[in-house]
Amino acid sequence: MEKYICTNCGYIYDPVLGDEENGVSRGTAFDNLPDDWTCPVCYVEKDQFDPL
Amino acid sequence: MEFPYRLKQGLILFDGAMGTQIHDLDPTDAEWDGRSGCPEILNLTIPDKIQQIHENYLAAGSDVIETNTFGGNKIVLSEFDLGDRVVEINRRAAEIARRAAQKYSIPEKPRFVAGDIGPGTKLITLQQTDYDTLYESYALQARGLIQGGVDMFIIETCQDPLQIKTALIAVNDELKIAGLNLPRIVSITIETNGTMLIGTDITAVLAIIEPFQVDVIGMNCATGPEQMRPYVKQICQSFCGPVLVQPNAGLPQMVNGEMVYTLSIEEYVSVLSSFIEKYGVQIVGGCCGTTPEFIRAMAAKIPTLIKAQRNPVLKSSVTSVFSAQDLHQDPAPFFVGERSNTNGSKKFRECLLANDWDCVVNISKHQEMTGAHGLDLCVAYTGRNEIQDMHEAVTRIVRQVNLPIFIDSTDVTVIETALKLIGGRSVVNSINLEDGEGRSQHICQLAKRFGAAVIALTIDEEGMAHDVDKKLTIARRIYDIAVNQNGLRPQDLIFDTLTFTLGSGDESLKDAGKNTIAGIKAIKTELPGVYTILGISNISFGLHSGSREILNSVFLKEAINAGLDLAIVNVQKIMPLYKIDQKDVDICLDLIYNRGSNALFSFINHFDKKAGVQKKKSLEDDATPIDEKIRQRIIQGNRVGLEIFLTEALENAQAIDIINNWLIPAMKIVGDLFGSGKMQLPFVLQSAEVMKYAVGKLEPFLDKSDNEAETSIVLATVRGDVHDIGKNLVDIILSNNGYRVYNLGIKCEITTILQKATEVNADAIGMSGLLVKSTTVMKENLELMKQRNITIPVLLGGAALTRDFVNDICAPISNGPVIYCPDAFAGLDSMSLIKGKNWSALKPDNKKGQKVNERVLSKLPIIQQEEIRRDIYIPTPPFWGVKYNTDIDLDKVFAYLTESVLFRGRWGYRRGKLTKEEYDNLIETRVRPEFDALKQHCIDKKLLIPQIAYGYFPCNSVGESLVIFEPNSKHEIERLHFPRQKKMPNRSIADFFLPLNSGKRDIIALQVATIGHDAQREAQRLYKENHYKDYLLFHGLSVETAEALAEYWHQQIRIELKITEEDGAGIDDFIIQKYRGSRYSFGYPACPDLAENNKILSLLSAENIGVSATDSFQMIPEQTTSAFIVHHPQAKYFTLE
Repeated sequence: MEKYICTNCGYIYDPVLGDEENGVSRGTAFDNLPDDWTCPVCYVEKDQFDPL
Repeated sequence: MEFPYRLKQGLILFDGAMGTQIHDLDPTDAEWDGRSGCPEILNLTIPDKIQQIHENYLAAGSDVIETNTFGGNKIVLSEFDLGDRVVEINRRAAEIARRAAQKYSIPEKPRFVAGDIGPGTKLITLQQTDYDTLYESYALQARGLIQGGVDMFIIETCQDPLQIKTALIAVNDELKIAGLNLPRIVSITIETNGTMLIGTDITAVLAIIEPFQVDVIGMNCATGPEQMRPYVKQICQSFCGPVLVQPNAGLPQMVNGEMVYTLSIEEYVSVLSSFIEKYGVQIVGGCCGTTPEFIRAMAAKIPTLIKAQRNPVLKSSVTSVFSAQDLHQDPAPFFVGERSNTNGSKKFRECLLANDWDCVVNISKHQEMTGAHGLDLCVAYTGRNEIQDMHEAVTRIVRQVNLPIFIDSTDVTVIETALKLIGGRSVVNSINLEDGEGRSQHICQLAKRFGAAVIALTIDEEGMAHDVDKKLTIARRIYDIAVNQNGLRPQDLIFDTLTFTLGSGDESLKDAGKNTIAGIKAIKTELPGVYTILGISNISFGLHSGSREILNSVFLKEAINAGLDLAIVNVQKIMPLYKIDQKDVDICLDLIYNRGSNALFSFINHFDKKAGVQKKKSLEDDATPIDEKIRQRIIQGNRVGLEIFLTEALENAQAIDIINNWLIPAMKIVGDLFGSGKMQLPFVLQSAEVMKYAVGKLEPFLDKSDNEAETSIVLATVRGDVHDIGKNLVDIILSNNGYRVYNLGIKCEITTILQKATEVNADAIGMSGLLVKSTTVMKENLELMKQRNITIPVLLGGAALTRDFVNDICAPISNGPVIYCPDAFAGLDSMSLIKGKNWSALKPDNKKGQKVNERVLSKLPIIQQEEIRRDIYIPTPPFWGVKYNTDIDLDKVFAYLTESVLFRGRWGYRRGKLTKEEYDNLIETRVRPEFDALKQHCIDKKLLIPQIAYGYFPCNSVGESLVIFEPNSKHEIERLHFPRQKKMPNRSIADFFLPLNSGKRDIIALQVATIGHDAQREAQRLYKENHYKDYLLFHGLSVETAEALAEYWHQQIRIELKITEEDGAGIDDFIIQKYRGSRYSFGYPACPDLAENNKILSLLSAENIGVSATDSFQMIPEQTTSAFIVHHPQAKYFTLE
């Protein structure tokens, strides 16, 4: 599974770690993130992410 | 004792403010004589009280007092109906000061009177007045001051270099008439942005004043002493004579509607002392807000001070009104652009004949962009009025082109006209002895008078000098006229040893190249200090164009090796030698030095053969059909040969069809490539640049009617928002796809937008904005449009917008279509629907039904309740209060750039559909070289100037507020408010600080980081000049550099607080806060109230680094960040909702 980077702030979404603070469990692929998931650091939407 | 002698004897103390003292006198209406606000009238109505002010300063220890004549020139006095009493008023003022000085003068401590000349109320470079009026205004003032018996002149608070020159010329003339030789002091005023009011930087103003050989140069007014430090240092390093500093008592601040100066006497004395001991300042005094107490304290300190030794070096420079260029460039040569010349450019000539002054300016600007260091300006054309043309051209060029001007004319009156208009230090081009010495004498006098340099051609009564001896003999004659007879200095002279063509085959010119080069050597050896110049391209006149560039380039290199300093050339046509075959170089050298039996024959033969080979190569391209070639050029963003293709295409097609059927579809392909993630934004912009270029070429062939049917849009960044990159990208894409765009700029009120839309009968309105607040403004704008029943389609775009917000909140408000445009190409798609009146397709797609608020609410982070620990150690800062750092190495800042954000976010080089290998390859071969070159460019051209204001303040929390105290006191100076989270654990940032009732002070660090106003200006320039790609890259780098600077200084603060030992490794960790000492900025989720920002700016007096805030609390310049740092280890980011 591929990591994705936030092009606004540089946060890297790593599917291995998920985003547990925001209810995304470990092992969730980027494509399977909910539509309303946003960057946990700068709050931009999913379409601002780019495959690393 | 005379003042020049006193100048050789140690430190000198001037007086303090006059204005403030007069204010305290509070003169009656009668004393003002109905002229309130004209302090000079008081010299006549209450001379004794004015004398008392002088005496107070003398009693406090001033060696020199300044006359009460700051506004004593004719222009200002005329405003008070005193224009006919200028001489009298100044004489009386000087007499008053003279009496006071006499009273206190003793042999051990002689006292002196300086005739004070202020700047007046009109800026001459902005044409608020003209040279002759200003000259008379100053001449009368100087005459009165001389009659009243002043010991010297001080031309002070200078804001405009042309004003300085005019005042100096007037003073010089009056002194000459009176047969006196009094010292002249020039004191300039540098504003908080680092330049004079008119925009002149310190290096330039020194270069402009230097030829006048004034006795003292210094600074006064505008800012406090600490802010003057870098400029004081620079004057001390550059100017050979004594240096004077008269600061204000700090930066003026508004308190209860009155300007007050807050600097303490101790600080004032301490900073001035350090100027003396560190930089070697010799003369000090005070400006606005200083009093006899300041002077008394300084006088007490002076005997303990030892002036630092100085080793000033001033290079001889010429300047625009803004900045300087060394006459000797490293590497040489100084390139003089030759295209703003009726003889040098057909286009320039045509512009002039059409009186198209914008075009004249554009040609000149273009030379600045292509690397010229100076601008040769010649407007002579038979049958036209050269004086008037010079006036029209110069007044525009001086304000818009940042290049020194070489005034190219044979007419003395034209030269004088130009000199009276140019604030910078220019060069007169040229003198010679063709018609004897008369004209050269006259021009040398003018150059001396205005501080200009002069180009001298080696021509005498017998004609142009061909051999070396003759060149040198004429140069010696001219040197004698200029230096020995007219007082110019060797460094004011630039000799041209004349270039003749080697292409004619003329037997007598075979050695001309060799002789020209030998002439340079001879003159540089025999006449030390002078400069040399050549017009390069004459050497190859008559030869084939391909070979000309090569010969010109080789000849230039040889001349430089012989010592050439300046070259008049078309800079774009000079090639670096490493790009030329060694064989070609050798053939050129044979021709230049006349080696071999027939060098010219070999030369022509060699390059003809070469041209044949090259022609064959270019023929291969011809199989591709012309429309495909043009399409490919657009898609590749390559303009090479495009003009030829277009000319060819016009033989069989209409311009409008070429645009509609070839160019726009090509841009459509570009858009598709972008949309599918196969092309990155910078390449898109490069294509748009080529598109713009192609349309420009076709424009003359378009019928007027071709434009009428255009679909149009009014585009604006909404009220309160200054961000325009997104909106400008939309403009670029739309206008290069055949739409008419009315770009209204930033901070636009809805009424302005609607007015424009009505005026031009626009088909759509586009609103843009980066701030969260702008989304609310857009909503309000739509509500107003609904009230007025305006149904024109609206396109919305901007970083803070979401599709849901637009579809669910905005769209229902309006009766017309409201469309979300996440990028410029979405805007393009929408415009094509609008053009086709396809209203149904413009309805929002409602596939995602969630409302914005719900979306945010559903995203509740799960945070455990966690007690804030109170047992942590409170750091001690290295100092309390505020410090500034304007001496930061840009390279160090660049090290803190987050490359992935810059490349992918700001620049749009996203991986998208590329494989990892393809993407890495793109980064390494295209992006990183661009990145490195741009960083170097920013360093070389000083486009990004890192500046920091930061400080540490004692503080305590009280509920949701943070009370900030004056260091070492109980005095509250500010209160920051941090709203409490509505959800668990109900946090407020204030919680991270010790409460007031703990009895112990906590600490907060504040910082403002900016990279200055020039970045903004440069970005605007690139955009306006259609360098779309460079605009995107530069803007992105500038914004990220401001971020990097904030990051860098955040790190410095953490080091200063000694809280770095808890860090994770590497800079990547900064993003996820694995460290102690979090940096928060207002406007972000944990502290969203932007208005609080102004408190940080004011606590740090951020105006000292040129930062201010708009009424919507955004910082100017845009490339600025502010922040506070919370040292508590538990302080992390959170959201309020």
